[in-house]
Amino acid sequence: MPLVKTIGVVILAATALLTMRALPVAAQRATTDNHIAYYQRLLQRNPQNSRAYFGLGDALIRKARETGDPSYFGRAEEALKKSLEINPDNAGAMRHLAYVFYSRHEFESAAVHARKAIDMDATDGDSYGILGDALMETGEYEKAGDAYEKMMQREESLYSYSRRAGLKSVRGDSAGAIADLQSAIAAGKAAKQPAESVAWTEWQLGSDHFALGKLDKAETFYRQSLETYPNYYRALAGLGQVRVAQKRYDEAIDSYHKAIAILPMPEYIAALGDIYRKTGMSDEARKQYELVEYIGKLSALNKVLYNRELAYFYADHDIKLKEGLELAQRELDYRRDIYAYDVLAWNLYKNGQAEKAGQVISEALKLDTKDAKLFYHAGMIYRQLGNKQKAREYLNRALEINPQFHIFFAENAARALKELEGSIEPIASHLKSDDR
Amino acid sequence: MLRRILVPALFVILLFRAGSGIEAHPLGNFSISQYSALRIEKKAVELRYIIDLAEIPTFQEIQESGILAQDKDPNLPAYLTRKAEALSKALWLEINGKRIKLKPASEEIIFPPGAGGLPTMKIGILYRAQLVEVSGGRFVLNYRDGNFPGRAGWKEIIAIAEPPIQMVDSSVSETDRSSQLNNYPTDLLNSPPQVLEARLSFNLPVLTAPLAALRPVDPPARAPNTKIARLPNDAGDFNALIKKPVRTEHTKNGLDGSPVEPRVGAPLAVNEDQPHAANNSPLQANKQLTPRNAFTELIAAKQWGWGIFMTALLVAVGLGGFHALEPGHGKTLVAAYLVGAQGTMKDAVCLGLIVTAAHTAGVYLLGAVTLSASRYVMPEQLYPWLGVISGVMITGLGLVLFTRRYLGKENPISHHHEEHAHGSSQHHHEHALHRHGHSHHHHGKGAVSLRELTALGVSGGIVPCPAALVVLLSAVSMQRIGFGLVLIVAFSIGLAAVLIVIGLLMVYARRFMARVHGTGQLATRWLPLASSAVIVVFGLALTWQALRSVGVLQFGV
Repeated sequence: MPLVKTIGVVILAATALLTMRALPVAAQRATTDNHIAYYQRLLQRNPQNSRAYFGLGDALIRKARETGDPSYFGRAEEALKKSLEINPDNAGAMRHLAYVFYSRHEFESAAVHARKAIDMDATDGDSYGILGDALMETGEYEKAGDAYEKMMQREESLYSYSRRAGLKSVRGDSAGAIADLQSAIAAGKAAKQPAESVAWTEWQLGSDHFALGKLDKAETFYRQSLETYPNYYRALAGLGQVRVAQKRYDEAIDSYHKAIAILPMPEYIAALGDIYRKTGMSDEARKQYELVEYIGKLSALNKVLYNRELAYFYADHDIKLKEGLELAQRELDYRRDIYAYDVLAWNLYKNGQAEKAGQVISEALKLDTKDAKLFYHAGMIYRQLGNKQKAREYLNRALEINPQFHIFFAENAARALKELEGSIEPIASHLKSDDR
Repeated sequence: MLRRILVPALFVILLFRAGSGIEAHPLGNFSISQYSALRIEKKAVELRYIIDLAEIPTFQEIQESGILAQDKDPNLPAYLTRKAEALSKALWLEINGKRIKLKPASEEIIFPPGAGGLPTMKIGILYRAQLVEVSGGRFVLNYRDGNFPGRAGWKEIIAIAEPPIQMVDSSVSETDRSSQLNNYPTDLLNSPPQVLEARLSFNLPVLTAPLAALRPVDPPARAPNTKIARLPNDAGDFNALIKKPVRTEHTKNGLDGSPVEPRVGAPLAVNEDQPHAANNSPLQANKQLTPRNAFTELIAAKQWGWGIFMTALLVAVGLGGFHALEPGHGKTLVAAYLVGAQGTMKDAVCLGLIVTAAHTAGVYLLGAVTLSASRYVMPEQLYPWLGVISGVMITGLGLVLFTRRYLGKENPISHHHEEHAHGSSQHHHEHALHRHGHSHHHHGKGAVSLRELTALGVSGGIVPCPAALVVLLSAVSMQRIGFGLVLIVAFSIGLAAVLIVIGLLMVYARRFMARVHGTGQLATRWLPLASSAVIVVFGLALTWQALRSVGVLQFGV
């Protein structure tokens, strides 16, 4: 009799194990919504299923990424915490929790949780990956590099390659970044990773090409991204950016409208407003700018993530400069990547504090990131400081990297450069005249 | 009861951490929710279509259309007519493979306030589609809502068949999960539906009854040449339109295929294809609990004048009072203690004040800690620890009281009841006896020691209520810290007032009981014992609850 019992238990355990293994594979083929529903059904049957809570959390994170709706992160957090409550040793849930914090720009918590996940399972490369992500945001690039190194030793996947690509890109190794992104896409397709993840990588590849002024390639990858994940808002906006650089404004407007219809990101709305302004449709431009500010007001009410974007928006458009500077300063409290310094420097410059801006911008340039925007900001700041040589050097670099990096600023940079090289006419900042 | 204090508190704090703060729309500030209720009738399909736009799309809509977010804007009827038409273009209704046009019959709109009082909007449109070839048999209906593709939100379709029609098969539910987008249940196991398509088949029983029975019953008022009384788009009085939706029905062909002139208006005529009343309730603002409440909204008001300031203060006082009436908040404690310890009116007042002071201090403290230390300690971790501390304190106190009372070594107080506690010499005497020297605080009848009162009050009040904390934090986030602090004080005053009243009631109740039952065993021994037991249980429950949320205790329950 005991023998029968034992055999029964073993068979049961084996079945359970096998189902668990098969489970994510089966679920992967379904859409994210089906995936969510599937785990919810499992949990309705057995609310003590830690693994199902983990699966639910995972699917909710994916949903949040797909829709851009942060409320899904809140639910994901809840699900992951439940999973951990039932089984405190679930390293995956801990890692995902770290990712939720990261998405919410709570980088310290993200790092803490990622380290916990690593303590629980040191073989998991993704946990190192998220730790690295958090460290990147807090400006600890060396440590981030170490974490990514450990990540790469443990796994070579879409996620690990695209993370390393991010670091390479920031460090100015654009070619390396592009190669990594290509490996990431290949790995993602081979492993049948979720469509949105692959599409994100393709979009990133497009963006990296755009940053280098390679518009055709950028377009190719944005289109690829849209094929992988139809109506992907990032790719739609990317395509809009390419069209702007090509001066095909009608198509750019169309593309941005499509992106905004899915997710009204303030950056996209601001970019759309810029196109309208460029094409002389000032009423439409004003509407878009008002919408950006409205979202800013809302996010202030909600204490959400758009601080940096708004600070850029204010400085770029010469409005609410004091507020912009405050936002940029506040941003530095919890985020110290090079862009945190860039946005602060840019806002300091716009607020007439070129001296300080000059000190801060050097922090943003320290990694020699190939981003025309950074060099443009630096050039304008040094021009203000009277350092003509540096100003020329930076403005030149901006235009070398991408001659069409921005709908207004590329021209601004060219004019400033001309002026510095002895031509006469002073630049009238394009955006300054606009008092709303 | 404890759950009801701590859980919402944690919830609010989590939301704050989540950065969603006073997020008004339950599905995010940019969501657009869509709801379709299909109702199959004998000769028509009725579609109740509702869209719910959160703050950002509402702003965009207002920008685009030039309407005002006010019910009385005269441009609304025209806007709604346009909108109903525009939305219908992406609503695909097909029966047996043939697309059927949806005609708007009535429209309504409301602008419920969202985060910080910013408007959101909800539009409800009733569409009707006539079934042309109505005869018995099987029908297949396909429906697709192609509006706002890809936009996040609650996307729900339901379908109901009106007898004698029998639903054979339906890809969507018959039951409404959101009560027409009024209530979004957002627990973990029920995520927002994303249904934008429905496929159903239904049977219309072969007509054995005389055909006439199925013919449109003519409204009594209808004369052959009745003119269109009112159409939605020529309505002068829009409010009337909202409250009593006017519907127009156009029948192309009667059952026998002969043309029938449009049947119009007659909103009062009851006939069998009159839309179902339940399907037709007026639009309502979202009901479910959102992280904001009346108190939080106060601080989000936009303009600041003295009037608003004073109103805000008054409302805060009122809210504090109401808050004290909610379960928890040391109210039970105050009551239990005062009943057991033979407290006096003064004690009641004192205890109420202490609870309130502790509560205010708790809010300030936690607010400060949250703000300054949020990078190192997560408040959702801190909060339960406060709960643990106060729980342990309460338990300890309760135990001390219980043992003392049980052993009969009552505090000096219980020796004298009201009857003989008047003399000033008595007072001096007692002072000398008393364990601690706070003579200036000590009061004549002195049924309760100040130390106990303080301990109890502090521990009862130290766990601040989430509403107060939210106000403080949102005040800080909106750079109106001073005002936030003042509001908290006002809130606390309201709280104090109600607690004191409750305490006084308890004192009177006990005296009354003493009078009824005399000063027998019940009043002198069992009542105090029971009350200290209540305190112990309260403390233990609080501790247990708090420890669980800290994660120290891990029970599967």
